[in-house]
Amino acid sequence: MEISNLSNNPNIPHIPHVTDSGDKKRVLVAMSGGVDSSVTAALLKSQGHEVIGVHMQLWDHGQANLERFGGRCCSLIDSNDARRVCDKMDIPYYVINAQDVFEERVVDYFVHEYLQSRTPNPCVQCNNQIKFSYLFQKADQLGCDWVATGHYAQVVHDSIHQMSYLKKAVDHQKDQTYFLFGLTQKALRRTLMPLGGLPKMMVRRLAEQFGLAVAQKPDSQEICFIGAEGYSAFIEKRVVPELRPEGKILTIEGDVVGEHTGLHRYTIGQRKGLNLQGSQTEEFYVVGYDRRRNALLVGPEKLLFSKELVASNMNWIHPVDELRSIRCKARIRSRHEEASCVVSAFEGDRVRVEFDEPQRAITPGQAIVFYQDDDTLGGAFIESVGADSSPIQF
Amino acid sequence: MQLRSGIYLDSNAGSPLKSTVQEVLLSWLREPSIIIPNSSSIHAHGRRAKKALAEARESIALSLGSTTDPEQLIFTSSGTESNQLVIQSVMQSALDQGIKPHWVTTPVEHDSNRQMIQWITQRGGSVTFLPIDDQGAPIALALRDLIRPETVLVSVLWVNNETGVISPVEKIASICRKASITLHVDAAQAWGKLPIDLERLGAHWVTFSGHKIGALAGTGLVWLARGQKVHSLILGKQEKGRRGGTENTLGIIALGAAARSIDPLVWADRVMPLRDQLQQEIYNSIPGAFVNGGLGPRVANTLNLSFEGIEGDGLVMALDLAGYSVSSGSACASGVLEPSHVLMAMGKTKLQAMSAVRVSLADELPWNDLEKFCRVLKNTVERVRSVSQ
Repeated sequence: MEISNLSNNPNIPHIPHVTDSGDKKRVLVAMSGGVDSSVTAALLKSQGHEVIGVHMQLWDHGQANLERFGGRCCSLIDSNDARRVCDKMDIPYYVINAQDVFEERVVDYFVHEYLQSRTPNPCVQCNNQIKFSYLFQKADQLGCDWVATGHYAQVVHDSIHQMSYLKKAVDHQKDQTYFLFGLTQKALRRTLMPLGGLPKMMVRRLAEQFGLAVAQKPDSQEICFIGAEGYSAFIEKRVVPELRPEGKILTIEGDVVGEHTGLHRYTIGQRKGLNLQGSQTEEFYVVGYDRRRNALLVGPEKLLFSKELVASNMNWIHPVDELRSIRCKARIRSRHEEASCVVSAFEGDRVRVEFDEPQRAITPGQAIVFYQDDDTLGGAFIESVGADSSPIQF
Repeated sequence: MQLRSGIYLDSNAGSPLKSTVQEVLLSWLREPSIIIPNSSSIHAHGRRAKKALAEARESIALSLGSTTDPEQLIFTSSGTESNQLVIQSVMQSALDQGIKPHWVTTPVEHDSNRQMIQWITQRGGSVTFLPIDDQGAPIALALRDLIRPETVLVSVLWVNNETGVISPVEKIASICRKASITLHVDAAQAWGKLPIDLERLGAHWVTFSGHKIGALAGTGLVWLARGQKVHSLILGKQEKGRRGGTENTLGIIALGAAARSIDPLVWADRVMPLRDQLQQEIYNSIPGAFVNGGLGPRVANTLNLSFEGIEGDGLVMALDLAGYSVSSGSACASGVLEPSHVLMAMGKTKLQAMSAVRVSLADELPWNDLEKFCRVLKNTVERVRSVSQ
């Protein structure tokens, strides 16, 4: 089936045109080589826009890993899949080399955060630091009006108030707003995420109707630069042993209950694989780190719960009155059931968050994203647990 | 599609098929009795193919000098195979004698040559780069100081594919002769652009590529002086046992036709004024334009441009969208633009080396087209500059 004929196909749901007047625009589509961004490009093309496909090469897995990484984000196969989709649609396709900046700002950051006993979210960091800034720069260079991505989120443009909003995807299971809180108004104003209004099932069906070879390609799940070896082995390959020494596992009373093999190997809330000795330690969890003594702190589950946190690098998608507290809901992990809280300004780009109910395993380094209903207000990175901004101390 | 129908300004990457090549190919493809003949067969059809191959071989030899012996040519699949066949042959001979071979090459070679650095060092050999001058041309006089007792091979690119700069191969050849060292010249970009006389060049091995002279991609060529020993990459009795596999008959016939139609001096008279006029027009209309290798001796068709304030790969993409096929550095398998190692060797930063634009003219084209290109280039440079700062 020709893609240009699809706009009249009754099986295709109506996707709002990118401008009110239905103007045909030049749109840069970020193509990962997966089904979502491919359908995004096809939908926009079917609406008559001039579509340009751009793939970002972020990480070189090397030839040896071609088999193992097959079909995953950033691999050669993905780049070729994206190229085939663009060829099918007869649209130009370019690959951007962002490997150096990705290694510096995402991979090094990822490793550094673990060495600081924080648990980073590299996908958030990549979106904030690289992806969108590169895409908009490329869009400007190529004379594109819009940048479109296959994210599951809805960008709503309010031309009356000159504002753009980032709303959750209608398919809540697939919602990706958690990873996009760093978008600014300036960026959102030129951003399209046409899949936010569609369930995933429908996207796969569309891919088949568009005749895209990637229709049945599995979703990418994990961190794109971490292979089968896992994140610990990845960090250990890049960091000398002296910087990730073994040490003791302590209870908060200071009793030695085991040995750890490097603090970077443990995350808050972890229970398995601790090999603790002593009585009543079966129910112990990782509850924190004592970096001064290079010790891993464990304790009963109740120590994992806290009502307060401080977060930094706050980005408000909506302008807010910083002098007033904001009642909203927050997600402290990508797969976290959002919880009611009050956000108040702290100082600079920091905020203090107080939840109505204690939350389990608030983890420094992770993102916290704020919502009112389906509207994404903004987000920040968790700095510390508790009311003040000092690191956790037991 | 409108976007894609553009003007081709990238003949150093691959020259458009020559019309004489198209005619010869079509006449063979229309033959009712045979499509792809195997020249090894003894029957009439096979003999006919063999005759066509022999004629092509003679035409090719003639284009490489009036005394070039057709029997000293080996057909291969590509310039890459040709380069690697030469380097492996010389290195393997040394390794077989228990020598840990030393190879002198330059930092501005084609990638097919650079790939062999690892091959050699893994086998205990060593590699030294001949220094280049500020135009990117290898400095012949520096070669003497680099030669060691175990130096067995010097490899040098005759014409740089990115800048068009011509290397002083005759001087290098005379130094190699005096030191009794084998010289390999990669002439992929010289064939068709410079007059070539292999017997007078003084090299021991010279390599070529078919699609750079308007023949088909998938054909390459090695010329070797008498007395050089080949270590085959592919075993078989074809090409006198030096390169196995059924000959690429149509490819070689096309190569013969292309070789018959090249005339470097006449071509240069047609193309060089256009290139020079374009260069002048760009200098006049775009502030901050710079020609890489522009002060060195250059072949007639190549123009390698950098623009102040432009970094990264955006310019080439924007020009493609505007309908002009130019080239920038080299793209790896995934399509990522790698910064040009040639320009980096000439002192550019990684981002500068990624932003250079190479224009290479295949043949005459109306000045109108180039004038229009210059206007588009000016607008594109201005736009990319405005968003890069």
